[in-house]
Amino acid sequence: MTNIILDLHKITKAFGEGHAQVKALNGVDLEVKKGEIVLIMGPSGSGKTTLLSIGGGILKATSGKVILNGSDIGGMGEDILTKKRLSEVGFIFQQFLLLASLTAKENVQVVAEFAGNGGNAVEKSEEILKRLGLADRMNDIPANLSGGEKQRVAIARALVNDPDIILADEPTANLDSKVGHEVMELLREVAKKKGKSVLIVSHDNRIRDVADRILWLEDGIFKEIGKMTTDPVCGMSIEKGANKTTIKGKEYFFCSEGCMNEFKKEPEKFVGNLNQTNYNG
Amino acid sequence: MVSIARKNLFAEKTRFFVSVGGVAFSILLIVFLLGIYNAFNRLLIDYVESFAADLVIAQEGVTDMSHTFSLLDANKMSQVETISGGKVYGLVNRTTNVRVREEDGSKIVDFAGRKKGENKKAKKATITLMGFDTETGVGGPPILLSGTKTPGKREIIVDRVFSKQNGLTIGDSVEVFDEVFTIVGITDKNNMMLYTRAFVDLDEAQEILRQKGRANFILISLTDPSRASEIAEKLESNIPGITAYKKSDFAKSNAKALMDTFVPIIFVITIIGFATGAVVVGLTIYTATMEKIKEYGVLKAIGASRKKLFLIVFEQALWSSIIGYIFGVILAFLVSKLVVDVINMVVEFNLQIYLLAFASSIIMSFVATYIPITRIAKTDPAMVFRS
Repeated sequence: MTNIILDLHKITKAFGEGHAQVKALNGVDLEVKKGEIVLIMGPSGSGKTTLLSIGGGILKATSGKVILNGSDIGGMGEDILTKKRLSEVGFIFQQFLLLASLTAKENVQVVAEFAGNGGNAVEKSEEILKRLGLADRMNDIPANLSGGEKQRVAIARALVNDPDIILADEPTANLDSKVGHEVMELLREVAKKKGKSVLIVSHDNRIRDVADRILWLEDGIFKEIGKMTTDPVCGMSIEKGANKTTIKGKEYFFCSEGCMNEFKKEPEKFVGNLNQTNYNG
Repeated sequence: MVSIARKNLFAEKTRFFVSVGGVAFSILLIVFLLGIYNAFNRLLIDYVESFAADLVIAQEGVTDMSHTFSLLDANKMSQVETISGGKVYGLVNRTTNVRVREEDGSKIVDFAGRKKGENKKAKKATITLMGFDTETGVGGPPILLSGTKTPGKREIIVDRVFSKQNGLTIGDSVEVFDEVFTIVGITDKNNMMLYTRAFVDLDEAQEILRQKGRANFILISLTDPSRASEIAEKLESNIPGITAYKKSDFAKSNAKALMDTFVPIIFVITIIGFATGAVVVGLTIYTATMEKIKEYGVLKAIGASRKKLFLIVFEQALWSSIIGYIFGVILAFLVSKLVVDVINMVVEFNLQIYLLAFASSIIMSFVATYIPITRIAKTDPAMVFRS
């Protein structure tokens, strides 16, 4: 029995036609194993969210295969795909996207009811929320919850139907450092103790600490993570390239000449604050 | 089960009240209009249906008691009696103005030497005078609220609304064709808005209308009512210049004559009322849907089927429509009490009207959800990933 929950094979996604066509993904391959946490990083517009959408069956690829739990979802009808998504995939969104009129418990319960688990939806949702430390907040609407609490409700919602894979889009983006760390630990627990696969798309470097694998997506293709570094001036993650300088025997790489020149004027200002990071997954 | 529809609907109270209010006023209009139609219809039909007779004979070509004038002489009456073999009764009807007050506004009091017919500035009212056979009561008032059902010489039974509008009661007098009649009975359900029916003895009516021996209609009570159609045909074949109706047919004909005029107007206004309700519900459901379009996208992304999402929208519209219907019916009831008591309008509701209005409110729900559902169907679930 295969250990691969999600298999994306030679995925290409193009938007537009003719001269206006843009390839968000260009022949990308990705396998996510059971219980694995995979982090995809990359600049804005690199195709990360597109990849996540295709993996979850929300978006159709222009070409390539998407195998979810052994089933090729590329040619599936909308109704079957919807059911598959409901039972096998859990989504966590950057902006939480809870239903504003429903309480925390109802936000989780309604997803269980959609999947036909109406009989014990209440018990399931209460149990998950308690496990995530929200026992006292079950009957609050999202407007009365903190960012961290909202994200935990979103995680509970993603887990209630016991999916095989969680797809998370910038799960820590709107959270402070402490809460963001808590959420990451939760995701790790979900993966390691529950055996769920977790595919995360994020700019957040902190998530690297919990990821089993880190991939860099840029211009629609995966690039070698070993060649990635951080610009000490603007903090952007970049590929090692021509804009570089050496200070005290150490090489520093920059996104542009501008950052490089600024660095050269006052290197102490940047070198003291940041030790250059190499991404080695 | 969590009802997203109900939660969304009641979360925005102002919009909910607007939606319900729109439907309520629409239902009020529909129910009220149909109530007026029903009341008039019943007024026209019920009086004729109350005749203790099986056939109604009118002058040839006459279809009802309101629009056309029928006159049958004593000879016709005799022929009808002979050929039908049944009991015949004359019925007189004439619409006319009667004086209800003296010139100085005082009540009419008859006395020897009182000058009649000269009170040109006196207050008048319009009645349809019905002269009927007081011995048998055939053609008389079906309902009596007070007094006697058998008016005698120079005695008259008036409708409750006539009595109220003119401040007259049993014992007071009115002047009909220069003769003073004393009110001896009050009836009900004879208010046709433009006029009311009043009832006198047949002989009295024939005398003051100067048509002694003649009637406007002849009512026939058969020994074997099952032969009504056969007898009617026989009468028409043997007596020239008459039309013979079965009672029920004459009742419908009376209603048709008047209602054909009103039905198109009522129909158009009802449609406008329905459309108004549908538009109000449609707009509020549409704005509610568009406000929550991202949530619908989330539900789509998570795995809610299109059918489930459509049902959420439809349920919202249905709640608005049903609650609006309930308020609309209550409003119609309250308004009708007001108009009946204050301006003496005729309104009568029945189960059919309530069911028709309920069906209208359900159809409003369907109409109101069409555009929002189309919008949801086009929503791309991938939009949830766009900030």
